[in-house]
Amino acid sequence: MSPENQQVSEDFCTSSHLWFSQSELQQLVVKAARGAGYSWSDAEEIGWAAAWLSKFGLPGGDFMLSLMQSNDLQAPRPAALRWKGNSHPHCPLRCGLALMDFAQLPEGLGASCLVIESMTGLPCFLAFAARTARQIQHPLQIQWEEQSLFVHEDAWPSVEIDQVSMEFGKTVDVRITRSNSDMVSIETKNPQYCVRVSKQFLEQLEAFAHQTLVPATDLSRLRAGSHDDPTS
Amino acid sequence: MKPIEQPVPARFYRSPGQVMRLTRMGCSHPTRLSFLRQLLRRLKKENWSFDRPVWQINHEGVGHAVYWAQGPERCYSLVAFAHNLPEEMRSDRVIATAWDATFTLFDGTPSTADIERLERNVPLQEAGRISAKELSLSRANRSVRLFEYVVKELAQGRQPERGRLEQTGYLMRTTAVYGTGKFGAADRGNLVGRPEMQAPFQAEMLSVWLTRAFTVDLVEHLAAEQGGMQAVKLDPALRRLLGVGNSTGLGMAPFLVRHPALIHHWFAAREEALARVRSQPKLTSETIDQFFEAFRAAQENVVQWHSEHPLQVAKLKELREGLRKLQIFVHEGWDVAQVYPWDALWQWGELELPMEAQEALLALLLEPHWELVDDLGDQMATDEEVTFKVDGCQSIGELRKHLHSHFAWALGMDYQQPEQCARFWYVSEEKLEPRLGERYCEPGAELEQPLDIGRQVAELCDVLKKWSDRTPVAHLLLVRPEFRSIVRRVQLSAHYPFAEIQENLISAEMLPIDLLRSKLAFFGATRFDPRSDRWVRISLFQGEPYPDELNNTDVS
Repeated sequence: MSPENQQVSEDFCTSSHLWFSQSELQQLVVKAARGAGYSWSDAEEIGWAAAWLSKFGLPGGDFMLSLMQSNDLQAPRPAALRWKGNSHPHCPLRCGLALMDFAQLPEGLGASCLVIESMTGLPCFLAFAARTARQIQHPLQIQWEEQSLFVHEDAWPSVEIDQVSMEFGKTVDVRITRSNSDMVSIETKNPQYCVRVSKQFLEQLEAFAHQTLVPATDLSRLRAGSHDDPTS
Repeated sequence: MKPIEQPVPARFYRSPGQVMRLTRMGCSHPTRLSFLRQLLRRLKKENWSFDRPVWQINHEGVGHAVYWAQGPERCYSLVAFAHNLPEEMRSDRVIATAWDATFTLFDGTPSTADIERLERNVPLQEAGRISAKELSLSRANRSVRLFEYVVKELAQGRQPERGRLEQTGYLMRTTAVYGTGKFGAADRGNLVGRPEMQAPFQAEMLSVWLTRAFTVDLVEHLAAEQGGMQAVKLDPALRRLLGVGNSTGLGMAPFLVRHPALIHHWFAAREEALARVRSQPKLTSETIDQFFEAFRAAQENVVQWHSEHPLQVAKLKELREGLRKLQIFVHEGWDVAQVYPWDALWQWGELELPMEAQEALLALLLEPHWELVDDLGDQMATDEEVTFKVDGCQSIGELRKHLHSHFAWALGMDYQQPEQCARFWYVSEEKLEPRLGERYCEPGAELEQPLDIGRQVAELCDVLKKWSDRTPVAHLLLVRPEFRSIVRRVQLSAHYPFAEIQENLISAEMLPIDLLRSKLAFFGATRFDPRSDRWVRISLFQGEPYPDELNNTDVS
């Protein structure tokens, strides 16, 4: 039995938290994001990012909940070398998706590096940076303040992800560089597929997700098959 | 016959536009590539062994049992809980809260502590929690008319009537079988590196197959409790007639839309198999013998396949007539000595047979060609993570080209017309069940699920009119991020031509049971019996061996 499973068997449901599967968390966050007002397209990406972060030991659901509760975040205006900040912080979702889409265009990573100014929600962005690395099949180095980590071309982060400090609400300038490191030299963190979710955050996610549900009517119950004869 | 080495010429393939239509998907038949067939072949080939180490069921049929399947590297255990369900609580609906039996497939051999934990959670189903040590969660209700009858007959030392067993076809029917990642269960990521779990839905299929053994053991146990020394066991030949029933509704339909890359692999593998058979320049005496054997089985199956639903009654009539025509043609009109004889048979079928019988013929053609097609089972799974991407560098012109090449079916419709957007898919607040609403007479359309692929494609096409061909897609998505998922699907379609059901899934004409039948046929389901246009019963593993018979039975 793997250590991960051992842990689950002893402690899979307590008064303060539940163990979710990664896909279960992803689906819940997709619904919550949609319920919070994002388009289905964005909600899918937010759910994916939550799952990615959780897979590598970070509280993905909590971070995405913070994103859903953030206001006045701006989309970037991609330009070569530097995406300049404006009156409001850059949105990590919009920046992350734009990084993936523009990665191989002049406004993206170009030959060397890109600086995104004044971005909040760094953990969310990190998930998309990892996917960018996989998309361009090249490791990336992500730097902010005095901290740094790598994302591998398999979209796995380096082990520094356990040590760096990432506050969702902090606004930072982020430098993304095509790494010259030999990919073998980047020690990556192994994924986990069980996700510990605190009941407190779960309730908030479920409250958002509930906004996507349609109350049943007698007609909808009937059409769904409630007239089927159960005794046959 | 050797596995194919050269690419099959294009003329032997069907096009996605022909295959991915609901009218044809709604005529799907299980084939040897179906998931339950893949499971049984693997278990047999790898010489798996089976046991029932725990049977703690009392005289009322209440308690628990463990069924154990040991493979070359790992073992799995079905943990079954049998309950005493009051008659008035028996319901097949997903909103039910109690069942005759509940199950989970455990990864390994459960300890006493595991059983205790599962006993607190599995009977609750959606209201409980399982863990990454479990691979599935399911429940089943008795077929009241057959279960009690079989118990009574066996208790009195008699075998039940064959006709009554054939008529119902199962002792219990599952009303939900949850798999990957549901309610805390193991994700596919947990199962990487396990060949026995790489084909789709293998954990679920194993769970249902072991459940089938449990249903028979339970009636024999109750008969022994009631009849004592007088009681007899079910005759193995009669036992074979029983599968596990399944009662399912709209819940499984959205899956086909939400997993385009995976669905492509299912259909592409099946179509590749058909093309390989059609491209055989000659046949052998072995394949022709096996074809006729499979044909006889299909003729028997259609005799036993009953439904009272008008749509299915018509389809069964078509199937019976089609098989009669096929019977005459293969004996009197088919020149087996001609070049490409299987292709000649297929082409005759496309011209002369109703669609229901064409799809049955497809399954028949694959049946004797196991050496040629069985390897395709390995291609029916995929890592969807790899396809979850958008190519931002692609030009709008290129995107437009893909859109017109692969989604022409979606662009000719006027989605403003009420009949073209008459329905909306939604998730019910009551037990989170997917449902289909009538847009103009039911509330909730503002909470629509994004299964309206055709309409989304048409909207994208409209938006693209204002964009120049040379602009990269990245610029479009920067200002219109809501189109990301449909852009991804359009880009995907260039490499995965069977990814899309080429129908308007919100039209007034759409029949959800066509979606259900297609998916259930890939599972290996038989006796498709609709109870409405969105609710069906089927049977799984009917006619297949039980665990104690597998080693002595040919499942190839």
